[in-house]
Amino acid sequence: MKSTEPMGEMAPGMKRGILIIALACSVLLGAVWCANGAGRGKLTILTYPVTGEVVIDGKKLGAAPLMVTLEGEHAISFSEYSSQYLTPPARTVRIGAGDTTVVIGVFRNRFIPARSPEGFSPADSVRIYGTKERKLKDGTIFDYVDGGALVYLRHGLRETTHAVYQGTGKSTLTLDIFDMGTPAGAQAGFDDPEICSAGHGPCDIGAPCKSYLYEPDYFLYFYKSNFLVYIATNNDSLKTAVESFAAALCRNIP
Amino acid sequence: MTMNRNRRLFLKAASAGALGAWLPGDGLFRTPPADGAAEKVRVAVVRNEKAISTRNVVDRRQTALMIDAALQAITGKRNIHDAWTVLGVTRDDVIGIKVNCNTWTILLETHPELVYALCDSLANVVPPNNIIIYERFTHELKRSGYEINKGTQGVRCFGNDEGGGYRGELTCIVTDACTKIINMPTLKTVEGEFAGSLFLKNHIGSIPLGAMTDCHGNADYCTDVCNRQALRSKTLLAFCDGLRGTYKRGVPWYYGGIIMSRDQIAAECAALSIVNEKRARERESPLAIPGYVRRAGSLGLGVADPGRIEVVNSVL
Repeated sequence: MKSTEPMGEMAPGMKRGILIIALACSVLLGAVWCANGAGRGKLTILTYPVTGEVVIDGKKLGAAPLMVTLEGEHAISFSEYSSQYLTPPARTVRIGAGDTTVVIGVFRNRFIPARSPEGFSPADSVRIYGTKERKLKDGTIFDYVDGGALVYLRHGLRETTHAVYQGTGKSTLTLDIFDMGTPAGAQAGFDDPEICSAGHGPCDIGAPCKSYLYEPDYFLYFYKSNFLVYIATNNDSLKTAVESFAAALCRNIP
Repeated sequence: MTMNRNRRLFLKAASAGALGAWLPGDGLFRTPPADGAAEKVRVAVVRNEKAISTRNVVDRRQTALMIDAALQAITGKRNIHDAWTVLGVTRDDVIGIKVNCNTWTILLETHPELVYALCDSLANVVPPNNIIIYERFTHELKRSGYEINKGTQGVRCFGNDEGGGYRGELTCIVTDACTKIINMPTLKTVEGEFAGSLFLKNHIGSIPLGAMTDCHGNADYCTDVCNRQALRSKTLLAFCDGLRGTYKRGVPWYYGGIIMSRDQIAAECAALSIVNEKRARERESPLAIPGYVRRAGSLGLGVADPGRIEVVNSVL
């Protein structure tokens, strides 16, 4: 099997995810190949971590994963997923008779700063949750926050990106990016006391922001464009790191 | 734990209660008249300011003392082995402890130190390996500080995702693995139709993932889950971690207490009463006992009538 290198910078968790998908795919393709016998080459296109739309030779073929039988040279590209992700660059693949080729398009999150918050490192791969009607990589928002999700859904929540960073000791930092679909939805979430309750303090990160200190927890919400962002730590002495990270993330949101 | 220590603790707890070191404020409950006490369902509320710091750090030894006091309050037995025996625990039982790790924004997981102190107490009767701490996902337990263990030594701990699947719309941990269940939520207020996310709501984490959202807009669903045969028949004890709670949605406070009863509906009402006392101090409107809790009372899952609930308060 020929396997192309995925594109983009990847966290260790992301690499693991891709490896699992690729291994599962190679087993499946092997079985398909044995059943069909020799002929044209098999091309499988996967995307990670979101379900991207696949374009071959300029023609939209639908959402990944896709398996097609082809021969010769073909241009593989992807449609833009959302402003939160960088679309993987287009590439050309040559499929020979009997080849089994896998192309993996990695949509890199452009909002999450490449550099972890000071004193933290990624604890796990980034999780992505959709809605009940539109399940994503890690399921629905209810798999993450259960009933607490209802208020976000009322304001148009489309998907949630969830990342956890581990600091020294038991310190953790949690990041949630809520794609609320529209700027109005993001602001409505920010203004809703069921999400951002009263009793908040100020925070200067380059966008409307509310911060909360409940010793030892410190967290903040801000919104920009279609996105409502929540960043929290269970160690309020790391408040500055949280605010710096929030400011860096805010700058990445167009 | 020695008998002497138990006795000392009991005396201290009892005397603190007698001195009225903690009295209900404007909550739902009043100390019942002595002549009516025997007819009432007992709920033990034990507070200990040394059990948790304002940095959410829990002292396991202090929580053990609280558990002892609560057990003694609800069973009348000073000896811990005897207390568990009165509650119906035998050496052959497999005890499932349903904790709540599904928390968000405010760290309100059932504190592992408290849960392991409970396991130590149970180990007076059952082998530690006959205790299973569970929640929806193994990774949630791990994140909350529990030691994942599927082995044959020590207290077991894993999620429904590694619990052998589901039977009759409940995790096999409840239906197959365990003979008795301890329901162990935290003192969480969510307001709205649920008021609290307490005992009845905690078992939403005992059902298949796809069914979890069935409670949204239908709080009665939580009652129905707790009324399923396996949970109804196996529930041994209701035990709320109130070391840190929320008195309104997303706003925490250090209550420094635990709430324990054989009757989870009575315990739910008592927990709401404690929340209401705090809300009164913070000038928040009181939470009524919600309809799904009252319905649980009418289904015979427990007592939802405050007039039939005796709250025994202790301060260590």
